[in-house]
Amino acid sequence: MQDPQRLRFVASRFNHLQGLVAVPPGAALAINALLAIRSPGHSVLSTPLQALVLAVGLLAGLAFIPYYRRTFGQVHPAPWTRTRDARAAGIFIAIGLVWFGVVIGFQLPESLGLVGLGAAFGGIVLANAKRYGGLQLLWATWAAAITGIGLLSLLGLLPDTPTGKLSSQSGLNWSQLAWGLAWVVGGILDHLVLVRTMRSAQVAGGSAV
Amino acid sequence: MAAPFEELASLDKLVHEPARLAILTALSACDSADFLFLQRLTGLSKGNLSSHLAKLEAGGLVQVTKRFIGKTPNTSMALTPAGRAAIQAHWQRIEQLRTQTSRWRPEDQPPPEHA
Repeated sequence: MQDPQRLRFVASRFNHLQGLVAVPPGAALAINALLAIRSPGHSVLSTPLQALVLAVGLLAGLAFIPYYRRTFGQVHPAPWTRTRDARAAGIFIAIGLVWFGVVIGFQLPESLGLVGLGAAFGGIVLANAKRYGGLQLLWATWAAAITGIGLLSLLGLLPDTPTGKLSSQSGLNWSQLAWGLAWVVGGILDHLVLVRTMRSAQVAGGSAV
Repeated sequence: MAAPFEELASLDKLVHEPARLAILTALSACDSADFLFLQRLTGLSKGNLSSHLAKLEAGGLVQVTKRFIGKTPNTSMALTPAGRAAIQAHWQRIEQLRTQTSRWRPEDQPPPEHA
């Protein structure tokens, strides 16, 4: 029999482990961050091309939902997981609002805001990992990317970018690029967790009646 | 006191059988799951899984709901309150036995009675 903790983790977080849904939107975010270099005002959604890229990314992501249903089946999550997720989201939003209030009020570097946000999100990810018996790699990758880009900026290690800033002189939005790439990498990792859990069950072959 | 190894034999076999234990453990972590998910998660064949589910349903631990989504048949499984209590009690018992086993010593076992 498979590890019961892993069984519980996959069953309770099944809908969240469908990581391929996040890959196309993540790629779209990353592409838009690169396109922003040439867009007016270096905005990530100011040109028709950027809007098209985002729309295609979102639709392509949604197309993976029927794939998961056909391949791995369907799970309805327990009510307590929905309540817990809503509570975690509420806590994160509250911390985020307070922290950004501090950053803006004290005119702290914007990258410090990102580091704090990433750390708060990382804390919630770790708390969830303890509760559900497994780490959701998409969320962990988000937290690492946001915190990492913030730290690199604070240390002045981002190319062509003033220390503490999140956009380069040429208009590249580093946080957008990092977040988009995190969606791609984290989504693939979560998908692999799901596939490997199911595959190891196939190899084990279950037991006879 | 019986050795913990002897108490293992007294565990509820309806729950303790590995495939059924995997099914019940997975269902305890969600509201319901469909047949395909349980089949992929446990690695059982359709026939084996159906047989185990029938036993669990007959034992009152699992509720099986069959319906159509459009023209596609869909079978979903959920734990009954008795099933939820049974799997929770089972894992608690396993944990107790694990603790007892770690403390057990051969000299604690009473000598066998000679004929």
